[in-house]
Amino acid sequence: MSDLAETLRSTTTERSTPRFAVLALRFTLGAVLMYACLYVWAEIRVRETGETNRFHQIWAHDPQTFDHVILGASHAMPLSYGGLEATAEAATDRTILNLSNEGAGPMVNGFVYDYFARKHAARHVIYVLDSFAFNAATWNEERIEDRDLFVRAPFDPALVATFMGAPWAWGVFPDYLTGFSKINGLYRLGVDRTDAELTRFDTAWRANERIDAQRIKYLYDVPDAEAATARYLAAFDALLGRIEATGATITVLKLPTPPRYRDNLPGEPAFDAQVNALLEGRGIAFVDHSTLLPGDENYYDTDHLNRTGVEAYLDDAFLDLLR
Amino acid sequence: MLLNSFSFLAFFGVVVAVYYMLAPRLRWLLVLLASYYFYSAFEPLYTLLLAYATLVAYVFGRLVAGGKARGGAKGLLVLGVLAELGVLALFKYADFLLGSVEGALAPLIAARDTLALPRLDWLLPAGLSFFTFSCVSYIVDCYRGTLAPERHLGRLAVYVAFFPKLVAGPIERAGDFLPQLRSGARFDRLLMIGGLQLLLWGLFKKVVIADRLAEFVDAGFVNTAFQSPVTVLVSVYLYAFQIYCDFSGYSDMAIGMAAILGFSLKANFLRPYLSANPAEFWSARWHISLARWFRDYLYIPLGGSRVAPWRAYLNVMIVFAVSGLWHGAAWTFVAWGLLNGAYQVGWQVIAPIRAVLNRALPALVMCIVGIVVTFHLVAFAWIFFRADSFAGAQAVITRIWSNLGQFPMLMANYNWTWELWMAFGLIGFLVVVECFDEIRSLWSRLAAAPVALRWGVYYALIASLVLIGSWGGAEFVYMQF
Repeated sequence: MSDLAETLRSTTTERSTPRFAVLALRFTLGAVLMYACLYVWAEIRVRETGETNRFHQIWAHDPQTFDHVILGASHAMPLSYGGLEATAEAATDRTILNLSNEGAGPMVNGFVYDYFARKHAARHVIYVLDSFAFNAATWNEERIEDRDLFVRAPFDPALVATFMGAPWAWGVFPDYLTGFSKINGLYRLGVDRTDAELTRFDTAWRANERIDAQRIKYLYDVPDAEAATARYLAAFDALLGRIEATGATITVLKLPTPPRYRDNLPGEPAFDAQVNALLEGRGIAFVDHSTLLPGDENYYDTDHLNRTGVEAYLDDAFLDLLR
Repeated sequence: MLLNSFSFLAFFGVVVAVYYMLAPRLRWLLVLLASYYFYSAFEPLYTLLLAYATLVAYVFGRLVAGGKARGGAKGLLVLGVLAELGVLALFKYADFLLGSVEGALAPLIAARDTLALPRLDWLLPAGLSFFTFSCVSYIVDCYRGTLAPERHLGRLAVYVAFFPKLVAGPIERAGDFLPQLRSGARFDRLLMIGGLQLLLWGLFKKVVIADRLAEFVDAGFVNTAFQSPVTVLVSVYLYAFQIYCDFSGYSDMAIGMAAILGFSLKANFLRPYLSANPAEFWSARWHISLARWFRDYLYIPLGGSRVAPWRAYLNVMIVFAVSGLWHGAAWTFVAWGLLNGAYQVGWQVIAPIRAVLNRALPALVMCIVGIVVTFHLVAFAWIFFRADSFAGAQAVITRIWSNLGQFPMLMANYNWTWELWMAFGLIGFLVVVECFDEIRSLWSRLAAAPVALRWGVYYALIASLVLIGSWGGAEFVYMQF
């Protein structure tokens, strides 16, 4: 643009306009009104297009008691990919609600469960355990700051109340309240399914040591992991307490992972021992299915079950657990 | 705290509100505190560098004042300039120099792996090149006698650290800025409106255009050998617009914020891609404040154009090589600078051919051809600017060049996503706006338009910021310089 001062000096119409403050106020009100319209439009779109977003799922169901609620990180997500959750429900005649989220540690799961508990109830909660999700704030306090978690979360007073009870999550609260992320980024209003489900779930992984090592480094090479693990195990313990207080039973579960991945996780036996000790104190079952499906044909990437894997797992163990 | 973040916009809102509540004589103090607070958000310790640069400029500005007319103080001038540039050299070029020495010596040493010179590995302070150049120009202007040294240290500190322009310019001259500060910036409704307009437009260019283009650009410049040639070609074109919108967006925001605070800064960009030749691009349209800095403090001292032709060409090449190095401590930036220097020299060398063409072809045709050719030359040079290494730049060029004959088929089969079409649409919108602005200033058009239309434009820009703006907190490209 050309020189500002020069241009402004050459314009005369603005000089004769009185009451700048009144104009500014009117303009601001207009902007607020426009934003309100965009908000309403985005909220309607979110309610219509939301499908697998966990907050949307909780909001969309009529208040009820689910037989099984699944919590956890991304390993638990394929259990409801590709219509297989419906298959499991039909086979067991049980209702299932999968509330796991990518990269979600116990704090994030606690937040989601607290919201769930304000609207529904669960008879049984399956917590799918991933040790990495206990080793850093990245998967907990920082993870909840990811606005993408809330882009399809409809406005719900119950969710507002959940935020009020979780000051550690207030970083993303203004964004949720103003609906900014729902309005911003139209592409998010497309299909509410993960890229993994849409493009990779039906594929089989070709093992690659270098990529395995990169994945493990990404998840586990973090500073002060020991102190963080102690902190998030305490948060996990508190979450188990809250679930038990609602009268639900709990199973803590490790899903199948390939040995090339599982055997290289640093400190995994020590973590399992810590979890075992914690669960024994509460009398909660710890079911370790991690060795059930060793073949790469069961995974769509380094460590997530694909359709073949989930179907085999349903038949081998999971349906029994649900029954 | 980036200018395109909500935290910065909130910070700026608070500063403006307090600023106009304060008595005019106290406002400089608020701006100074706000500027240091803003800079400390990047790295608190580096505010010491800002203070150091200011103190050096203050002391040497007074020591060398009018030295040129007196025929003395040249040693002090050199000392002052070196004291400023020394910090820049240490933080920005020391590791580059060590790496270059290491690379040059490596083939001469049998056991190559054993040669490992130590590195400083210091984090480059944001905007160091910008405020260092401001300080150098201040000292030199004092020496030349074109500027009276500022006696008020606080005011000089505001000039150096003024937060809207601190991390990516424009490199405002003290002679333009300090008088405004001394006269006490007062509320000026026109400047306020113009400032808000520019702030909005700059934000639009950065958040809606530049950051939306960034993802497509990154796709072509990373793992280039595995990308479709079309992806690589598209990324080269889009980068030309990404960097323009990124940098000019920042400049517009900086000038706009300064205007809101009652200061008038010089324009830094004037529709550069409408330049009809490389000389016009660099002398009058792209990063004007830097081009003028190099003209006044390097090119002219080297002799400028008032020397033998070969020497004038050499001066141009030196200026552009240094300009490249100013942008980044890497040989790719030097190559980018030299390439642009070669364009300038080439433009002068072909003057007889141009004269013939000017006579043979209509002016409009020459103008359009000039714009298209200049844009492509500039876009080609940007490859070296954007690539991480020469190998990266070579990969981009090779990927395009070796598939040149197949482009019609490749483009027909390419996956043109709607996001990509949106990117092209945004660029088209920008080009149309700039064409209209070229004919008559858009601000004048807006000022003369009915309120409904004017406000409609503002609301449309705000709506696009909210709807399709990329608010992921992407840094401004030029902040790293």
